[in-house]
Amino acid sequence: MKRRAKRLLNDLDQEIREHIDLATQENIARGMTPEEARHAASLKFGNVTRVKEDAREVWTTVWLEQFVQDVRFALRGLRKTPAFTLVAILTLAVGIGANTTIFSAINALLLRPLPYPDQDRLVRVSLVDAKYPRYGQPVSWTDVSHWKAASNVFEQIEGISGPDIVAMSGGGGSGERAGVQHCNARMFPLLGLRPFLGSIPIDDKTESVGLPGVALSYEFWQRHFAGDPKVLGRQIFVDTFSGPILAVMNPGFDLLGTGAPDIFEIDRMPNPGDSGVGDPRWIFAIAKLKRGVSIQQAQAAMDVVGQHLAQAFPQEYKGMGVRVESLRQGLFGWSSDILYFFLAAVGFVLLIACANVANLLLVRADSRRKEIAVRVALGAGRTRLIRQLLTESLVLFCAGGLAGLVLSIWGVQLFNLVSPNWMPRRANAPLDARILAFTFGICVLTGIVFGLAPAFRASKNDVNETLREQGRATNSVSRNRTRNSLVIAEIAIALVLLICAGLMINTLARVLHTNPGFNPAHLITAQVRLAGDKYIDATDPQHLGLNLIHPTVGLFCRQVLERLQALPGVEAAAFVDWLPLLQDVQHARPAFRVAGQAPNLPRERSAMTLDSISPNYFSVMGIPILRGRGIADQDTESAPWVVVINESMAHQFWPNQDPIGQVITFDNSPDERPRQIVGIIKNVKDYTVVQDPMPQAFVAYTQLPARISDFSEARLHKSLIVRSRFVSKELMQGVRKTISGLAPDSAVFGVTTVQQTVSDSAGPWRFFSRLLGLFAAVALLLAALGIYGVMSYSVSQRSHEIGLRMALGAQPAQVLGLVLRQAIILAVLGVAIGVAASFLATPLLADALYGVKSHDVLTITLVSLMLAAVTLFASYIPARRAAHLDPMRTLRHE
Amino acid sequence: MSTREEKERIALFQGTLDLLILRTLWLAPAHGHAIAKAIQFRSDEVLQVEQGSLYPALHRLIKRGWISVEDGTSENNRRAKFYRLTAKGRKQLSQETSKWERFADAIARILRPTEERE
Repeated sequence: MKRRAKRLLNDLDQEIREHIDLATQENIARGMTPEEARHAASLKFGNVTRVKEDAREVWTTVWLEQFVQDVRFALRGLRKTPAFTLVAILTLAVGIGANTTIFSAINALLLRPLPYPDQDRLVRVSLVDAKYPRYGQPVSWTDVSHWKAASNVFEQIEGISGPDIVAMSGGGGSGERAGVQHCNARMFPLLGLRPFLGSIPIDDKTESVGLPGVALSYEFWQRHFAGDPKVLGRQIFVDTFSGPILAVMNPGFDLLGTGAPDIFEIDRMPNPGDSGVGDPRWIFAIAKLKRGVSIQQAQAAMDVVGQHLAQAFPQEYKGMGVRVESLRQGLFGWSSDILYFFLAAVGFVLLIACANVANLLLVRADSRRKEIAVRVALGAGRTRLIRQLLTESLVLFCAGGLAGLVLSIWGVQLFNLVSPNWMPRRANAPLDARILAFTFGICVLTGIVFGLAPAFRASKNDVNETLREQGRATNSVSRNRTRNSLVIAEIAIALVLLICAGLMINTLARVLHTNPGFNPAHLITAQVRLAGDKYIDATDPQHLGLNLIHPTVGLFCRQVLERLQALPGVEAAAFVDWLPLLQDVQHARPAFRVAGQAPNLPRERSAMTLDSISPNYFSVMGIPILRGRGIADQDTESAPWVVVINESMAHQFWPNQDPIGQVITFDNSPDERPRQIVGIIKNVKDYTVVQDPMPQAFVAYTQLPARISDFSEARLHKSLIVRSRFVSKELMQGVRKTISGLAPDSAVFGVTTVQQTVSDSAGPWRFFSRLLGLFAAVALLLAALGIYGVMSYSVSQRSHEIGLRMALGAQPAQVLGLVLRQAIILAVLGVAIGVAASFLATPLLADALYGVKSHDVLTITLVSLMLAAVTLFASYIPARRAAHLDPMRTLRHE
Repeated sequence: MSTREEKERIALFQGTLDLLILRTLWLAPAHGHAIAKAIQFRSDEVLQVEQGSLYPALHRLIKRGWISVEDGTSENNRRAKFYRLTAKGRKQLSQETSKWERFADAIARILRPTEERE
């Protein structure tokens, strides 16, 4: 077959010659001269080269052969124009690299399968508050137990907490902070996590009472215990209790993508008959569907279970629905809005990059008109030409994509660097087929879309005219129109990004300038987490669910205040359980009763936070007392117990009454005493500065019950605050040493200024503004380059016309105006379209904005002016060149 | 000669050209020039195909197995390639011919003025 084709094709030359000879002879016989005869025969035969090519096409898988040929030709062509190639590839690398980076994060969180056995059957089960149906909420151990007993769609349903920061001590050295994940024992096999050392008994007994010891993560074992194999059985204090190390788990476990936990605590699963009133909701319920059960079926079944539970325990499940979703969606679904918004933003950057490259290709096509005309004259078909030009742009875009892929390696690192610690870091995942396919996909798509127009234009030129033109490019109107539209589009897209970034930066500025309700100036803070059996006894001998806080905690508080106040340069020292705006706060949230009122639902009653403070806390922090008094030195253990509340609590619980003088009792201890409300403080921003705080209550650290059922960890955590006119590194070290000296086994951390803590609380906004700002800056730079390129080319094209004008008496200023006028028209059109488009884009940001409307006139105006200025500046350089053209030289050049 | 016109004509006549070649070879094997002349003669010079386009068409038909090629001697007494209809080609020709006849008939009916139909 192949050989036959070769022979046929080889003999074709001879055959054609013979054909023409015969035809010539016939023509001579008809009376033509030999020359006429041969000419007529050739004319009648047609294009010989073409015939041979067509015959060859019959035998080859042509497209492949031509494709390889085209790729080779394209590579040769690109190598011949290194400046063009380099600029185009770099531009594309930035655009594609940014997309690959964001896609890597999306891939890692939302697309990649989770590393657990039967991961496609794993689901997260959560409670959904009818009032906030968007995201599922954590659940309590009792909820998990209820579902375990009532549902028949799961093979298993277990619970695990997120990593909590707690104190750890023991095993030698000082105490330190550790991330602890609580789970029940059966969660380990569900997630395929096995012990590396030791063992965890997984049986009904462990389920009903929990384990008295802890398991270490492999990572923590290596870091803290240097991989010591004799670690098993050693006593360590974790969070609120001491216990032996029972096992070291296998490495690589990272449920939420925020890092491996240090320690696992194995909690008990409550009895499903318990109502679980007030059982805190802080657990992720993870279940494995039975084989053949779909998520929809599970959801339907759990809806029914939820209704039954709502009847059995109305207090607990009022207004709550149950949601079943894939584990990946349940753990990381919340990030999809953020990530897809970023993907859209970098998509815009890519569009600008592509527009730039399309412009370059158009210019290149212009400069190659003659070459193309020659090839058309030699018989190249139009489709064939377009295909070849498209191949060239594809090769270019793929080269850009390859460079972008390399850039994205740094991009991912940069993304992880700027993202806050709550942003999962699964983006560290290696390059996989999905990322490669995505990158290749955008290369091909953009290569075709943005290569098509230049290819069409290049192939559509009149051969005769071009060849006759002697290489002078004519100023085709439609060609300029394409170029101008690309520039307008670039300006518009860049403006949309700039407006989004502007709004975010504006928001960040407002967040940073919001009054937090206290005065952070001249304040240093340090966090201490008391650790050790001398502070707490969690052995609970009478099984009342009570932890005993030793008087040593109060003693430590008094002593640390005295010693800190004695430090040179310190004006005052105070403390609160949790400093406002601190990250990872875990306020105590006990339920309470108001004397003489019907009890509310437990969930509603516990919607407040309780902190213990030193008497001077309000004055050191500069928190104004609105009515009554603050906590005072006279509020000792033996004096009547009192409480100070904030405005929110006053408004919420005593809307039409004076709360002062009211008596409330907290529910979390049998030793608790009724407390009279003695004062109301002005609201202090707590979790973030953008929202008003929830109801808060403050009590004297001297008036606390010894035994408490809940939130004992809050009693062990203190945020110390030191006021000094001269905040220095030395002072901070002094503060740290003073605290460590008093509690050597405990964890002392987060020694910084309160100002810094406030600033850190703006983290999410900083993250958004940094990324959007970066994208917008790149977009602006690319757009400026694009405008510069187009204006330069336009000037070089018009140099003849401009030379003529100048020869006829036009002044340089007039020429400058001529070019700038074109730029102004482009800028105005681009800005107008961009502003209109931004009205579609910015509402997506509305949730993240604070103090700024999504159509903030000032931001839009300033950003538009800035972009217009950049456009004019980018056009000014070529305009100046035009104004300084030597008319004689340009005209002679023709 | 603009490339677009050429493409259109080829697209239009490719099938026809194949059919005409097969029809020509039905009588006897022939070499390229003879086939071209015969087609031109038979179609009363209506089909103005560039003679060169005959050769890719011949190759196409060989590839499909409808014709075969053998060496022979031309009128000039020079070596030439003779093309011959195969059995498969014969079958194809009869199929195609009847298809064409039906098609031509249908076209003719549509184009015939109504009054003539009665």
